[in-house]
Amino acid sequence: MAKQESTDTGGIKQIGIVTGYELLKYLRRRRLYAVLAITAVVTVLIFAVPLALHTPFPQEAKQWAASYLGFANLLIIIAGAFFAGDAVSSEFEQKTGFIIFPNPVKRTSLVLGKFFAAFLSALLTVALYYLIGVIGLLGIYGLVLPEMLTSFGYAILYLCSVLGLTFLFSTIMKGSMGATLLAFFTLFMIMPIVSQVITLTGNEPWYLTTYASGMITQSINPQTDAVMEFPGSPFKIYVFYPKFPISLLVMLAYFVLGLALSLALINRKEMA
Amino acid sequence: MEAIATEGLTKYYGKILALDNLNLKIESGHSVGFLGPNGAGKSTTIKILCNLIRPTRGKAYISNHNAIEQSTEAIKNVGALVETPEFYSYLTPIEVLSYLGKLRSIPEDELKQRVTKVLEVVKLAEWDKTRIAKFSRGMKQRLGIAQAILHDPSILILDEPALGLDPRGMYEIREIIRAMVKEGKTVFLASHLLHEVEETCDSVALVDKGKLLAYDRIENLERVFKARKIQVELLTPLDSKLVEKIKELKNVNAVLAEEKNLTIGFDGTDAEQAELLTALVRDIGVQMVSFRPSMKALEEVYLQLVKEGN
Repeated sequence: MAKQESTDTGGIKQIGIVTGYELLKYLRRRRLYAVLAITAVVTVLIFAVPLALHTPFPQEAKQWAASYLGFANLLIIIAGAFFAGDAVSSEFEQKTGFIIFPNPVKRTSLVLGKFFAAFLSALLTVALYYLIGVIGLLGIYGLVLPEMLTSFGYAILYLCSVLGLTFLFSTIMKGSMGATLLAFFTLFMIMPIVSQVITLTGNEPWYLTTYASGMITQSINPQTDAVMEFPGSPFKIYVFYPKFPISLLVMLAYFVLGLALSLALINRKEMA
Repeated sequence: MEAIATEGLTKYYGKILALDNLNLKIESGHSVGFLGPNGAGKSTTIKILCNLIRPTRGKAYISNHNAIEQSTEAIKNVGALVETPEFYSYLTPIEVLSYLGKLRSIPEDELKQRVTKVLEVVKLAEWDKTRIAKFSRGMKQRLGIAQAILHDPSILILDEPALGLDPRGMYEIREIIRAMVKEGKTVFLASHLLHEVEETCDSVALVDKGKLLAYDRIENLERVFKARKIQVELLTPLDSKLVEKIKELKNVNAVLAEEKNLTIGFDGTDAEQAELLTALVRDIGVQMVSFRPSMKALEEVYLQLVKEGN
C-alpha cells in the first residue's frame, strides 16, 4: 500500500494544495485575464476620457483619488463574483465532487483552499488598480497620498466581505450561474437600492456592507452627513456617509458570518 | 476483520424510501457484488459509505471507522468510483491524479511513479498530457478507475465501473478488478451487469427497493435457488430415451434438450459435477463437443429474488 502521512495534521497543507489548483483553474480558464482586462479597460478610460474631452482633472489630488477609487467597489464585486461564484456550487453541479469528496480531506479544507485562491486572485486585481492609481497621482499631481494605504485596507476588508457572501451563495445554490448572478446582483443592485430606500426615510443603512464599503473613498476624501431642506416643503433629502469603526465592523461581520455559514453548510450538503 | 459494515442503514429522499434498514458485513479480502435493479439503493449505499450523503438512520463503517463521523479516517484506505466520474476539464490526467495524490499526502517521488503506473494500467498513458475536456466518456471512466487505485487502497468501492466502456474496455476493467481481488483487496462492486459480478466477485448482496434480499457466496445462492445449470453442446441431437436417462442421474433436477444443445439443471458439488460429466460420456454415450457451466445461473437467482421481492 502506498505510504501516507497522517492527514490529521495535513489540513493546512491540503488547503495550500487546493489553493494552488484553484489558481491554476483561474489561469487555464482565463478568468484572471478577463478580470485584469476589465481593470485595464476601465483604467484607460478613466485617464483617457478627460484628456480626450479636454476636461481638466480636479484641482485637489484627494478629489481625483476618491473619484478614481469609486470604481474599486464595483471592481471588487466583479472579481468576487467571477472568482467565487462557482467555487463550491460547481463541485455539485459539474459532479466533480464525486471525485474530490471521497478523499481523506475535510470539506472545510476544500472551501478554505478555494477561498484563499479567490482572495489572492481578486487581491491581485485590486492591488493592480491601486498601483495604477498611485502612478496616476504621481503623474498628475506629483504626490502620493498616504490615505491610499488606508483605503486599500478597507478595499481588502470589503473584498473579504464580498467573498464571504459569495461563498455562502455558492454553497447554498445548486447552480454556478445562479450563485454568480445572485452575488453580483445582490451587491451591485439589490443592496444599493435598499440602501437608497432606507436613506430616503432618514435612516442610515449602516448595516449594509455595500454602504460600509463607502469607506474606500471616505477614508481619502471625508464627507459629512447632510440634510437638504426645501423651504415651504416637508420634503427632505438625507445624505449619509459610512463611519469608522462601525463600517469596519459591518464588513468584518459579513466576511466572518458568510464564510462561517458556508463552512458549516458544506458539511451538511448532500451530493445526491 | 470487517472492511465494510452497515447497521440498520436507512435513507429517505423526501418521502421516498431509498434504503430500508440495510445490514451488511463485508470481511476483509472478500469481493462482493452489489446487485439490484435501477433505484434499488446501490448508489445510495455507496454514497453514504463515501460520505457524499448522510443516512436518515443507521450507521456505516469502513475499517471500523464511522463513515460519517470519522469520514477522513474511514476513507483513507478506500479507492472509490462513484457514478460516472467528472473531472476538472482544464487539467490533464497527470495533473488531476497528482492533485488527488497530494491531497492524500502520497510522497512526491512515489506519487510520480504511481501516476505513471496507474495510467498504464488503465491504458491512458498515451493521453497523459491531454486536457480532460477532450476525453470521451469511456476515457473518463478509465481515469476514474485510475484515481480509485492511485494510492493502492486495501478497499475498493466501485459503482458501475464498466459504465460507458466498450467490450474491450469492460474486459480490461474486469481484469484490473480481478487482479485486485487476487492481491487480497476488498472489493465492493455495485453493478447491474451480472456477468461482470460473476466474473469478479465471490459473493453477492442483492438489493431491491432498498431492502437486502440475499447475501451469500455465489455458489451457495445458485444451490439454494437451484439455479446451477450446465450447458452441453452435442455432436448429434439426443433421442427422448437418452434424455430420460440423463434425468435419472444423480443431482440432476432438470433437463432441456434442443437440437444439439442440452441444458442440465444440477445441484451438487464440483466433484459431483465431474462425476456427471463422466457418466454422460461413459454410461449414456453422449457425444459431447463442449461442456460448461451456464453463465445464466446468477441471472436466474437475481430474477427469482427480485420477483419474490415484488
